[in-house]
Amino acid sequence: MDARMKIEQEIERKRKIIEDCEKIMEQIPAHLRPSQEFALNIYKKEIEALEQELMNLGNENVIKK
Amino acid sequence: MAIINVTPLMDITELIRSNSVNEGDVLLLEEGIYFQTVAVLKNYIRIVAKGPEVIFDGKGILLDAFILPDVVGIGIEGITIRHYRASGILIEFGLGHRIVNNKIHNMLEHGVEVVSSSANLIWKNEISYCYDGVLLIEGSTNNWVIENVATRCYGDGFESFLAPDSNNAFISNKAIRNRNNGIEMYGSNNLAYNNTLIDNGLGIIISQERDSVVIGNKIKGTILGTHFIFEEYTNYFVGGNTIVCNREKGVESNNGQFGIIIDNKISYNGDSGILLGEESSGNLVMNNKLICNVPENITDLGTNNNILNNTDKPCDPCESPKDVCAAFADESDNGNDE
Repeated sequence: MDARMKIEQEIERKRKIIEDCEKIMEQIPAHLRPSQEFALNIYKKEIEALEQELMNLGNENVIKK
Repeated sequence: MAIINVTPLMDITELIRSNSVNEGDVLLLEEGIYFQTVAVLKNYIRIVAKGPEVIFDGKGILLDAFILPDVVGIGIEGITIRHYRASGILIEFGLGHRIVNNKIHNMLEHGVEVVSSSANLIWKNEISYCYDGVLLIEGSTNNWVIENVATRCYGDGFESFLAPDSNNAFISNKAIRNRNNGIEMYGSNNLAYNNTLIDNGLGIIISQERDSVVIGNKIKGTILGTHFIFEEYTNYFVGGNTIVCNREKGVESNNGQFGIIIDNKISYNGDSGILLGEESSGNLVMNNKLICNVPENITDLGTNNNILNNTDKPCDPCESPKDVCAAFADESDNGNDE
């Protein structure tokens, strides 16, 4: 699969997981929320890194053209 | 160094954070159902199940069972992990963790996700009904993925994600009935050795960069394709693999360059045994045993490929791959069926 498509799919899936988790945060017992927020931050950082990778790919394509 | 008994009622993240736990300590988990996410924030902590019924259950609302962020040398052994919304074990910026003998099933994300991490051992885990069984991503290098079983995942059994995920080894794993690939191996100098890949969407993909090695794997019953080499991949080595009864081609070098395909047994596949695509060049195909691949055992559409000393046996009269493979179908190659 094309690298761009792979990254986009990974970002899309992770975004959905973050959105769903934020929606159900109220259902999570209060004492467990800090660990979920901690995990959420890791996934958000991971998405940022993947987005950066996408931008780099875009730049590479421009240079190749 | 201490051995600390832990029960399901204890907050393990807080316990590790406290002064009661120090580097090298063992947390010995009593059997029971644990409903929590454990963030391990100290180095060299070993989390060990006391018996087979240590179960972490996210009940469909917690994200991960274990998070190892920016730590070194954590051991997680013998734990069943189920029903989390993200991954069973998430490793980020980590080094030298030992993930051993765990059973991980029903994750929305991955069994084990390794992010920007190196030198981890992932050994003898059984993973099913996840997205990828094991995913190495965002510059994960020099990891060992050995003797794991990944079944019925929605993505791949085992994956190194892109070019920065290099120098990893996938050895003696089983990938069975995963929707996408048995092993998707992007990056340079990765190794797939002695894996068994059965009834997956595709077998092994190698892509992005150069030098990966695929030796002694058994690939059978794939639906969409068997062994693909993509994106001008250079200097790959595919040797000693058994590639039988796949619905499409045995080995397809779409546009691989300067690769070596040697000593493979490629038989009874529903398309060419070895297909060298139009943009492939400078590959050596030697000493392979090809039997009854339809329509051809070897199809070379590329330039300057060298075909040497292969056994090229057509189907016998009235023989077809479909008939022969039906006889193989009863082989007991099944993995866990949770």
